[in-house]
Amino acid sequence: MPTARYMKYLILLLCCITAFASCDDDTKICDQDTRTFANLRFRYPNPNNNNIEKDTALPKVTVFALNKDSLIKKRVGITGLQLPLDLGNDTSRFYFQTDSARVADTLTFAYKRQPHFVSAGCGVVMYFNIDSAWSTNHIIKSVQLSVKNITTINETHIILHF
Amino acid sequence: MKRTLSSIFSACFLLLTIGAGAQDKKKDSVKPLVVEVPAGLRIGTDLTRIAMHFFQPYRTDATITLDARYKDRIFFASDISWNRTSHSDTSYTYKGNGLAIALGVNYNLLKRQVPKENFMLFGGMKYGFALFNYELPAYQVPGSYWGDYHGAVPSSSKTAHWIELSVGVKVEVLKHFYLGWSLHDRLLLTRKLSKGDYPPMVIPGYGKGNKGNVFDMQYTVSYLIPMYKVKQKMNL
Repeated sequence: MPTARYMKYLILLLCCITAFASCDDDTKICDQDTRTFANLRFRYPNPNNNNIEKDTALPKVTVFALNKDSLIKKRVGITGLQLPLDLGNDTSRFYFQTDSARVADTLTFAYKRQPHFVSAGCGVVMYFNIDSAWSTNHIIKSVQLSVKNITTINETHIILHF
Repeated sequence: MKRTLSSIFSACFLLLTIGAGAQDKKKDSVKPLVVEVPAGLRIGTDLTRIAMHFFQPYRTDATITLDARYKDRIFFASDISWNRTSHSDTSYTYKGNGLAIALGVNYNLLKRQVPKENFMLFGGMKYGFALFNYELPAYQVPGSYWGDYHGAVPSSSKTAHWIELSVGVKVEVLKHFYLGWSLHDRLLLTRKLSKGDYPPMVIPGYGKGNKGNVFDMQYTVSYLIPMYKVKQKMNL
């Protein structure tokens, strides 16, 4: 019976794959980006048509949390930001300056925190559930919350309109 | 005992030859032969659980496999497992231990059977249940800008249920002494455990606690304690 013979090898192969797959030490491997930063994007009204917005690059961005060291200092031409939120408090406030000559805005996030045990290799990460986000309106026109739950860095959570 | 066994075997062979002769004469009139073969409780252990400790030092597992022939092709089967998990590194410490039992049936798929040969190619289905507890005595979430977050999860008892499908073989290598291996697929029914905020690292008898579906294998060494006889059909 040739089919039975092939079957035998197939089962043997499957067996080997499972054996190797279950052998690696899970505590040594983390196969994902576990940073849970708030991902911001900058949008600007199209000068020709005010109903359409487009991505915009800001001239010289400086960002820091109030009373802390700067996160970004006079960074040129960025279209978005990844802001780490405070793991120990339910609010985070940031000083946000788009250009060195212009007035700065204050960005505020209010959220709930939920620690989450991702895997043996990645350990515990913090998930955030944003209740609200707002800012002063010197340069920023409005703050839009597009994804409330921050569980990964790979989504756009907040859109800043200028 | 030995005498009775050998006489059974010789009787079987006698029947076999008669049957074979009958088959030659007239195929349609052949009825399946029914012979009595010794059966009993087969007790074994899963060697992969012992090997696992060397690849995954945080896991210590032990599994006892039991099965007993009920009818011609049907075997009642059970796995009793124990697990202890302990891990500690810079980002978290974890402690857990517990017991599990899986109960079900194995069905022998081999068509042609000579009573003397105790080979088995089986498909099986089991229901698994685990009672265990675990804790994260300390963990930290790294935060390079705002500072780290420190937390702990106190010890709690949990139960888990799953359905297990398996295929495998068992071969008698010495009298009453069996070697076998099998593949297992386990589907967790207690999904809120794996989807929760703190899924257990290991569910005893199941595997990784953050997976709803787990693939596994066993390599068993077992011993048959003959206890009773089972009627076995023979298709010649």
